[in-house]
Amino acid sequence: MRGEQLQVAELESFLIERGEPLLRTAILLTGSRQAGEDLLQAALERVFRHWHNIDGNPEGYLRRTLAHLATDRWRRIARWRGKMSLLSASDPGHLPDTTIGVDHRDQVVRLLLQLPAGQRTAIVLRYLEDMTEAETADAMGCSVGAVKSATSRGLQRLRQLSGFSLVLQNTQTGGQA
Amino acid sequence: MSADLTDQLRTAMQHVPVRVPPGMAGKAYLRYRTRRLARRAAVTVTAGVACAAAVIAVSAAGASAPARPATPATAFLASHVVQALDAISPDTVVFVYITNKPANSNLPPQEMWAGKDTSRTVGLTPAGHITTDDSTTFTPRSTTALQVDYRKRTWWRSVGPGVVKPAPAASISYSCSTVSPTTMVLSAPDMAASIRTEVACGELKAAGASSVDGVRAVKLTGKVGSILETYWINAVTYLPVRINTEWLGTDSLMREDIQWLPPTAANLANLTVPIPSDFTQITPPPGQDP
Repeated sequence: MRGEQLQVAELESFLIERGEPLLRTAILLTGSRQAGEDLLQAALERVFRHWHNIDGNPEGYLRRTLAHLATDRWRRIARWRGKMSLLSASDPGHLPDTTIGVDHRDQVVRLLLQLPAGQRTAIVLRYLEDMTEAETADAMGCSVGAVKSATSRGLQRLRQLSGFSLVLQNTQTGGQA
Repeated sequence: MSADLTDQLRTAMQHVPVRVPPGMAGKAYLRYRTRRLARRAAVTVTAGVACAAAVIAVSAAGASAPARPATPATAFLASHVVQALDAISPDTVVFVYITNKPANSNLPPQEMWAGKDTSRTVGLTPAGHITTDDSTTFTPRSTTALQVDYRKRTWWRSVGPGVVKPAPAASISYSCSTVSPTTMVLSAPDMAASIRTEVACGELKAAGASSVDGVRAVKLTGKVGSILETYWINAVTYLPVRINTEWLGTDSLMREDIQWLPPTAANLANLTVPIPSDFTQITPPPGQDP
């Protein structure tokens, strides 16, 4: 166990540098801050298990593991779907701001989290992680065709949801949104 | 939000505020180590003495670097340690108390218990208060993980598939290049194989006598890269009672105090995680499958 403490120190340093984008991805994949932290924690645990197989920077390995763990989890535990519907309003990691721009971004993220897990994962990996369709398919353990389909349907659904959201906003503000 | 939907999505996702909690890697390491201890314990106990002997034979044969001959004192001491470890009962309960220096490191003190098919890890604050209490129990049909979180006053249990035990010779295979610094040494066969290989590789040497908590002990010590490791060996039983790992050039030190206990009712009871009656059961968090 000796050198593993050195690995801990290395990984802590790495997280100081690159932890935020990784945790952001994990939060978006799971739908809440707590679940995102748990997911990242599980991925970090796997880093220790496979330390010798990781060549240099662990970021790529962590990103793939986050996606694998998230999708694997979703496949096996349907009840998670309920937890991932929306970011909790009380979540300190996602408090709405008072500015219009931030409010709008917050709304976009909330809509994103209403998507089914597969569609959301595809969108997060494609547009936040900037993965190619092939990389996304590899990370999700599915075909490129399935990624294309999930992304397309996810974007289509987001357009529907955003339209619905605007209608609601108009209704609540007297049509001045 | 239509034509530039993907741009808006990207911007929105990039601006989700996050703050990485300190110590995430340390916590992940503790969990990894707990699981590994549990697996080792399960393999160790079921495989027994034959396992240890096989492992040692394999590890010696698998040494990838030319072995330097140990001095007579080192060879005598190491052979007695290996024999003592080989001879322990499979029902032995092993207790390890781990402390780290400096005290404010990301690795708080821990108590670890390993038995026949269960391992338990108690996380502590520097002041000795319990923070978490975890156990993993293996049977051929199922693996059960249990965690009680004293800070959140919650607990969860997760049941997974049983453990398919690896073949003894394949479960641990040390060589001069792999025995350290990344090898876990938590079960008796692990420890025997590790010491045997380290001695064969010329990494540990007898270093005189000392005492640990009033018990006369002899020392085996060696440097591996920038790490200095010292084993204190009970001079009567020849079982390791303390392992110090020092990172040279830093003030970091990990101390493991080890007790090899008989399987009395009291000792076996320490393998069970108590669940306070007023704590709330929660769903196991993601990635916590046993």
